[in-house]
Amino acid sequence: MEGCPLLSLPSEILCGVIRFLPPIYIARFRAVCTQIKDNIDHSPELKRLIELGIKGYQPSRYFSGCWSEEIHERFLESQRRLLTMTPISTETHSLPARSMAYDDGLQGCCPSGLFVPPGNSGNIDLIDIMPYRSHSVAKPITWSQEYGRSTGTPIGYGLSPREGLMVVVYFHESDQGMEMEAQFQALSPTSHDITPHPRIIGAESISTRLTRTALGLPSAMVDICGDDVIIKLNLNRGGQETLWIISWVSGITHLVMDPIYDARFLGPGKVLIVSPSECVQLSLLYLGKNLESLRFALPIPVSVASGFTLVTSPAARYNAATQEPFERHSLAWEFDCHLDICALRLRVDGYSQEALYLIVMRVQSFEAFRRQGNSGEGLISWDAWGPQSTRWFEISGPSPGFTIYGSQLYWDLPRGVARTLFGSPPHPESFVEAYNIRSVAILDFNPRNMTLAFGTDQSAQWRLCRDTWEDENHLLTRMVTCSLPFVIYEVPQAGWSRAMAHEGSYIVDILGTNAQQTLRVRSFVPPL
Amino acid sequence: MPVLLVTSDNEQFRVEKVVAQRSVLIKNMLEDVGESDQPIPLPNVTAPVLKKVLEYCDHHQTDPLPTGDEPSADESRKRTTDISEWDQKFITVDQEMLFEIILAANYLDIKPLLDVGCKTVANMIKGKSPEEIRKLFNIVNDFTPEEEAQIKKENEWAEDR
Repeated sequence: MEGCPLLSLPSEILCGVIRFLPPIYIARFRAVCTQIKDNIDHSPELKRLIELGIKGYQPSRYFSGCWSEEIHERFLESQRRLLTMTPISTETHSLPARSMAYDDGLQGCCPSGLFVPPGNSGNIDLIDIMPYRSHSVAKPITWSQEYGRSTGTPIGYGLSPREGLMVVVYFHESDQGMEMEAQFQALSPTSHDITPHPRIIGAESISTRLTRTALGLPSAMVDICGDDVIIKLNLNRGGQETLWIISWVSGITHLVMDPIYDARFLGPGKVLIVSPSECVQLSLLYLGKNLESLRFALPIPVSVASGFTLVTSPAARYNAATQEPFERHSLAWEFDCHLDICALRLRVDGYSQEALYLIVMRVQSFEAFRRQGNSGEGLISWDAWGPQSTRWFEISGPSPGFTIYGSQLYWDLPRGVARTLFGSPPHPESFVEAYNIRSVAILDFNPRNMTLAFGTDQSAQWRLCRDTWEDENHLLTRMVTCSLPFVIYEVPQAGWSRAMAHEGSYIVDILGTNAQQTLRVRSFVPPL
Repeated sequence: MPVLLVTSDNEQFRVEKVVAQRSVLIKNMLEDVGESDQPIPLPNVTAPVLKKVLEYCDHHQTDPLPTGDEPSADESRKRTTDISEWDQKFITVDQEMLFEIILAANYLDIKPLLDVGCKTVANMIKGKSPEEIRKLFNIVNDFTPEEEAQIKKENEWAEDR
C-alpha cells in the first residue's frame, strides 16, 4: 500500500512484529486491514496466541479451527484441576484502619488503591491495599484539588484501573443555574503520578447544565467502561436521578436523561437504564454514532415503586445500615467481557419490608431480541422475555446482598422467605425457611464451567445443586436449574463479600470476628 | 582489518571487521571471499540507514553472536517487549527510518537489531484500537462492511473495556 511502510514490510517481518504483541492486541491488530488479517489468519501460531488471550480463557467458537486438540485438552485438564480445589484461601488480610470506615462504598475495584471520598477539603486519598504486595498497609497518596483546577465542589469520582483513568465530578452553582463538570486525569498504576490522560482527544473537562435544581449538595456516582463514562447525579429528590453519559476519550456527550432510577453498563457501549414511565421501563442503550435503544416495560406501575437499583457485574453493595440500595459513594467498575447476568433490585411501597426482586438473566437475551427484528422502538412485553432468559425471585425479609462478577453471582444467602414471581400462585414448596447460618454462595452461570466441572451429564449438575441446597432451600434448585445451570461454591461462616481488584478475588468477612479473608476463585486460568 | 561497504547510493563506509560481522550476511560474504580488499556492495541499504545500523553494530560489537538457530520455544513464548536503554534511545527515530532499519536488519541478517525494531513497532501497536493503529501507520481500512461486522463480532472479547 502506498505510503504505508508498515504494510510494505515482508510478511515474515510483520509476523515477527505481531509475535511480540499480547494476544488481545493481536486480535485488535487483525481488525486493521485485510493484509494484516490475512497475515495473521495464515499463521496458526498467531491465531493460537489470540485463542489463549481470550478473556475468560475459553476457546472462542470463532477460532475453532486453529485451537488444536492438544491445547484444548490441556486447557480442559487445567480447568478440571482448578475446579476441584476449594475456592477458599486461608490468607487473611487486614485493611488499614482508616480505609475501613469508607470501605463499604469502595468495592475494591481499583487495582492498587482504595478511595477515600472527597471531604470538605476536596482531597481524595488513595490507599494501596494490593494484597500481593508486601506493603499492604501503604501510605495514602492524596489527589488534591490542585490537580483538579476546578472551582466547583467535588461530589463524586471514579477510577478505571484498566485505563488508569480518574474521573472527578464537580458541582457548580451560580446565578446562571447549576452545572456539573467532569474532569478526566490519568493515574499511573505504578507511580500514582497524575497527568493528562494520553488517550483523551477531547477536552479534559466537560460541563453540563442541570435541568432540575438540586436540593442541597448533590452526589455523583461514576461508572467507567471502555471509552464511556456514566455519571449519575443524585439531586436529593427522592429516588430519581439525572443521568449523564459521555465519552471521556472524545469528550462527546451521548445523553443527558432525567429522571432515571438507575443505569449500568452491560459491557462497552451498552447501557441498561431503569427509568420511570407509566410502568417501570428498562432501556438498553447502544452508544454509537446513532444512539439505538431497546425498551422493555416491566409489569410494575411507577406509582407503587419508590426505588430501583440495577446490579450488574462486577460489584454492587447494599447498605443495610441506611436501608439505601447503595452507598452514595461514587465508584467505578469495569466489566469482564463475558457479562452474563445482571440483577435488578426494586424497592416497592406497600410491602412491610423492602421487597427485592432479583433478575438473573442472560444479557444475550437482549441481543437475541435485537437480532429478531425488535431493534429500534420495539416495546417488548414482559411475557415475551420471561422464563427462558430470566428468573425472578422476590425475597422479602432482610435483604441478602449480592455481588456479580462476570458470570458468577456471589450471594449472601437469603435468610427470609422466598417465593417465585413467575407461575402463580406460588408453589408451596418454593417457600423456604431461613438459613440460620449465614454463608456466601457463589453461583456460576457460565455453562462452560458447568460442563467442565461435571461433564456433560446433566443429571449430575442438578444433583450437585440439590446436594448443596436440598434441605434448606428449594428455591435455587427449583428455579434456576431448568434452563440456567450454575455451579455453587459455598463459603460457610462468611458474611458479606466484595469483589477485589483482581479477577476472581473477593474479600469475605468472617462472622463473629473482625477478620477478613481473601477469597480466591481464580479457577479459570489459561494453560500457558 | 577494515572492511569497505558500499551503499545503494554509492557511499563508502570503512568499518572494522568485528563491527561489520555483526551482520551475518556480511560475515558469510567475508568468509566466502576470504581476505580481500574488494568493497562489499549493499544494494538494498542507503547511506543514512547504514550509518544508523553501523552505530548499532559498533555499540554491540562485543555482544555474543546469536547462534543462528531458531529461538527456543521458551524464548518465543516469553515474547518480552523489553528493550535496553541504549537500544531504546537508538531506535527513537521517525517511522520511516524505523522501518528502513528493520528492513536493513532483515537484509543484513542482524537478528538482535531486527528484534529491537519489531519490538518497537509492537510497542507502538500495543494499547491502541484498530482505528488508532490505522491513523498511526497511515493504513486504509479496506474491509467491506460485512467483513468489518464479522471481525467486530470475532473481536468482541478483545475490545477495550
